[in-house]
Amino acid sequence: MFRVIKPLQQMGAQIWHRAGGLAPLAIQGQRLKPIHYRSPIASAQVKSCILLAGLLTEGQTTITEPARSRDHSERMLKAFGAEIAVDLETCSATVTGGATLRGQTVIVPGDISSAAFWLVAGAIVPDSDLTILNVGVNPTRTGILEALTAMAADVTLENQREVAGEPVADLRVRHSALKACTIAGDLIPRLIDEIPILAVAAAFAEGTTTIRDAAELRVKESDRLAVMATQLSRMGASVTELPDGLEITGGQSLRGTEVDSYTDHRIAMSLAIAALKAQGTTTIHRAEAAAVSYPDFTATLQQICGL
Amino acid sequence: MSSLAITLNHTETHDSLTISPPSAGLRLQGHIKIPGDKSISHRALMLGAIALGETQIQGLLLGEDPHSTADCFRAMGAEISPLNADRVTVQGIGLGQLQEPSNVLDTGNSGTTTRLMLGLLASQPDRFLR
Repeated sequence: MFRVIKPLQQMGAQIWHRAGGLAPLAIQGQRLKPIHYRSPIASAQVKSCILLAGLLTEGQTTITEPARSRDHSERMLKAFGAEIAVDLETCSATVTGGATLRGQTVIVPGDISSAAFWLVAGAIVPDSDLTILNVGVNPTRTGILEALTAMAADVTLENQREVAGEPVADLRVRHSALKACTIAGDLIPRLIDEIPILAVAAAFAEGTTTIRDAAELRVKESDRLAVMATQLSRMGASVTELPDGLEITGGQSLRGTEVDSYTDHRIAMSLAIAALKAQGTTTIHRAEAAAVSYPDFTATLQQICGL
Repeated sequence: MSSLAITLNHTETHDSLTISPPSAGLRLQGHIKIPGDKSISHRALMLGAIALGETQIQGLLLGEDPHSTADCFRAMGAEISPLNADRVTVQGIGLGQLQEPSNVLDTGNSGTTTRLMLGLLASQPDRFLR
């Protein structure tokens, strides 16, 4: 918890913790003083913590990040009446304390990370035409749409609107011939959770797709680079594991076989989508992991297959 | 239609999902509803709790983590209806009005709940344990 405890202590907060900044924590709330915190990491949780502390703090509390992190807090705080200013160029957000927040109606948009599985399914399976309703398309989250467009996927945003400060759209995807692309650099933080399913898209795209700068994937629910490389290879895909990414040469036809999710929900769902276009039967072991973020995944899969 | 088979098999140790597409190929069609965004679900519960008046939330993600957030803010005085995806009602208590809970706050496995709540609690002159 040091990443939030330290800046709060700079504001004058009193927080007791176990060695290493671990919980349990005890907090003696205080009137804090405003600071300009220059965060060493781009983290929506750290930024949100400081901005929420600034709500009751007289004056202006600012946080500057090395890169843009997700901005759901800034948008919703503004919708509830907080005084928030955002500077996209310097990756800074400032809250002025003392505003009154008022209750709102919030329609929670669908999670674009869950939509990603259907976007890739619709793109790789011939004659498909799927519409995913009510998807959040916050620009800090839409790297998947840019990557798929670069791969020549046919994805369109329909019925675009704004709900409680968040941009929302229905996403329509139709099958098209995919081509390889490079996914690296600034794009990675905006699609980090979608790389396993993008690896599946790459396995069906013509040419060699390179994914770099994604070493963080090794410390998610599983080592997602290693697991996707081994499991897609088992199905016959041509995948090379890089220290910080994957190199995937598409175009080979995949064959059904036994694969393992390593209890990682995003791996389980990604392999299920790959199986739709494999020849023969695929069995995904430890598939119950999918329920972590998407309890109805299997039911929706059956629905769009007409079962 | 097609001879596609999708079956979920339970064994004592784990579940497996078997997918057999028809040899003639598949065709995917239809409109899909997906689960609510987790980041936004947490924030709607929290801001609802510290706002004045009522907040209505539609499409909340029903997972362990949003339940942790709701339970913590209930323990500090906010009235939050049982969580469901259709509609959750939060009766906010106003900024700076969170009450010291009678027991230790349990944020479960949710890092979002812990870190965001810490900012609110550290800046409000009262005592809190988590």
